[in-house]
Amino acid sequence: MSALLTLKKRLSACRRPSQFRLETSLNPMDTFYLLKNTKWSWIHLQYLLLLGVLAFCFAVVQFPGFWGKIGFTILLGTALTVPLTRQLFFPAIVIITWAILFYSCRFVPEGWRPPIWVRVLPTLENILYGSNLSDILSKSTHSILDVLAWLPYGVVHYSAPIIISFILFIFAPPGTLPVWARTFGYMNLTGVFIQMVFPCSPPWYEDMYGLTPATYSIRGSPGGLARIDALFGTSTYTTGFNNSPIVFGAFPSLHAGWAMLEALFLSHVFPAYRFPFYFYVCWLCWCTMYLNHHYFVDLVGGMCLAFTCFVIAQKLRLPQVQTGKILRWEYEFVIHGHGLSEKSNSNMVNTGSPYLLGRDSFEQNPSAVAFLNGLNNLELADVDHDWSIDSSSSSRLPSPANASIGKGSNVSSSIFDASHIP
Amino acid sequence: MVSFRRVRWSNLLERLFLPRSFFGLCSLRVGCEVIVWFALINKLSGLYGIVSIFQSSAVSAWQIFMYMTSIFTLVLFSWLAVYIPKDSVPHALILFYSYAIDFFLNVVFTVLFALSWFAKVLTSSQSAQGVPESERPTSLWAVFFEAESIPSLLLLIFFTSLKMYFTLITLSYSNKLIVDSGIRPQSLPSSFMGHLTRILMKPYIFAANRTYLRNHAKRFLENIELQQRLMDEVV
Repeated sequence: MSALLTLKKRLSACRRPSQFRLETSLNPMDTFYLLKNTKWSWIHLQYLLLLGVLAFCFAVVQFPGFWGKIGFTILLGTALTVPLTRQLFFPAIVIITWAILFYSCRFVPEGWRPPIWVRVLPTLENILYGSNLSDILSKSTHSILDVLAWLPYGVVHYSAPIIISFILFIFAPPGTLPVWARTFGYMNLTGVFIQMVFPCSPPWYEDMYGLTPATYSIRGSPGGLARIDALFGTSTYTTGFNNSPIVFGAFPSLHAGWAMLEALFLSHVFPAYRFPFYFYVCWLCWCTMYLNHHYFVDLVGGMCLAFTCFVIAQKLRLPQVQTGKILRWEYEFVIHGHGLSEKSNSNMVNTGSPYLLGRDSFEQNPSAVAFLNGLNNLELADVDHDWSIDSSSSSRLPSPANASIGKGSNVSSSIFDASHIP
Repeated sequence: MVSFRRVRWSNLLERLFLPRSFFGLCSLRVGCEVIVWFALINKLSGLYGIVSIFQSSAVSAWQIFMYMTSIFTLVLFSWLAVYIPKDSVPHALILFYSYAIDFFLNVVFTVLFALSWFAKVLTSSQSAQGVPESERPTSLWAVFFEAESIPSLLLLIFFTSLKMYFTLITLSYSNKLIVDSGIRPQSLPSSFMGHLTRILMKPYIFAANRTYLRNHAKRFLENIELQQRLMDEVV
């Protein structure tokens, strides 16, 4: 509740010009100018990898035909060059690549695909976790349990990434949304790649066909969701799963991966509510086993994949959340990456190894952050300009935003008005 | 002429069993964070195991014992996951000891359940009626091979060796924290955590004494004897 009380003060504080402005120009030359001035480094190799995956899909996909694919490429190209759409599509290019690879799995010729593993997952589940959990949990079914399992699995799962993108845009420091988009994209890309290289049959295959060797001609099945279709008289899940591009993609479970990544990002931004987020992950894991879609090994694989991607993103690029700030527009400055800037005394760093990601202690660099926080609090407190003679006087504390803008702040502009942009 | 120095076993062991970074990719602290969370995710099986015990008929005592230890380790590691990024020495020590115990338990359970699973696979295939006579795999090896046991065993060995490497990482992280923080047993507070840290630190100090003080002391004595012999000759 205290957050709401201070909302008025926070909103009024947000009228200050800030360096984190959204692009609004439509001139593609800006993008080429940026491209020319980019300081190229190893990290840019990722776009070569994405280009390779897109080229593979371009060659393999048959349905939208040649001209359809060319049209799509042109659309994507313009979206990436016009600055207004570039700011959205450039971080999202990883998600687009994943979606296209997922769609093109149907067109990959059978000769290229490895044999389907049917018994490896049940064996691993029984040996690593005692008994076949997914089989036991899906034995006793009931309509209430069906609806309980359907809610996270069929509804929240598919809508959560969009909702979380908006939440992260508003309540997280600027720069969090692109990191979320890339991490989400790379996790899915790795997941689909593993599913293509190491195809395994889900539990519903074991129930329908027994443990006989599988072929790629078998169509997907909604598993427990067929009961939901019967309950509600719809056929969305039956048709959806029947012609899903990846039928034998049990390991790693991307349902668990999505849930874990969302829980990690949300508990990064709202640490106080992390237990409800982790409860959602456990709930969704139960649903996937109850609906016969995954073994427990797949869920562990999906969650570990999500956590690995999150740790890499967090240590390298995720902006640090500053205490006392809730809205995006309150952030005067952002520190990217956790544990990068402090001096690390581990002897691995003394050897100058370029690969070392994290430092040893978790705190940010105390002195710099404390000074800047102090600077900000003064400015926040000074919102009613009682410390300065008038609004345009230069006695205001020199904040990086003012220096870069060079124009007096216009007090009357609202958050969504872009008037402070030259 | 190439002169070989006497092999210093302590340095060799240290370089072998105390890695200085997590897979050469990141620091030990980040590695320990990943390890704690991976163990946390694996121990979720305890929750679903307990739920499945109520619903299933054939439940062995070993499964119940495994699910109980899983839930305990789940609680313990979720408590540790909060403190590991904060570089606290007692929690790193607790992490190493609990992870080592957990690793041994894991090996015992994996071997046990593997034997019971493959025994079940082999016996069930003998009595399989549905498969016509000709198709039924003849030799034991054919059954073993058809049940895709080779990749399963390879994956099991890979996961077990991964956990062994994780144990070494937690060991070297706790060791490095003790060395970097320069904690002395006598300077620890007399609270419960202080006593616990002092107790858990004992093997580390014993190992340090064995490796560092022993070598220096001997070399120092040798020098004194050398000087005395020189003095005798001069005199």
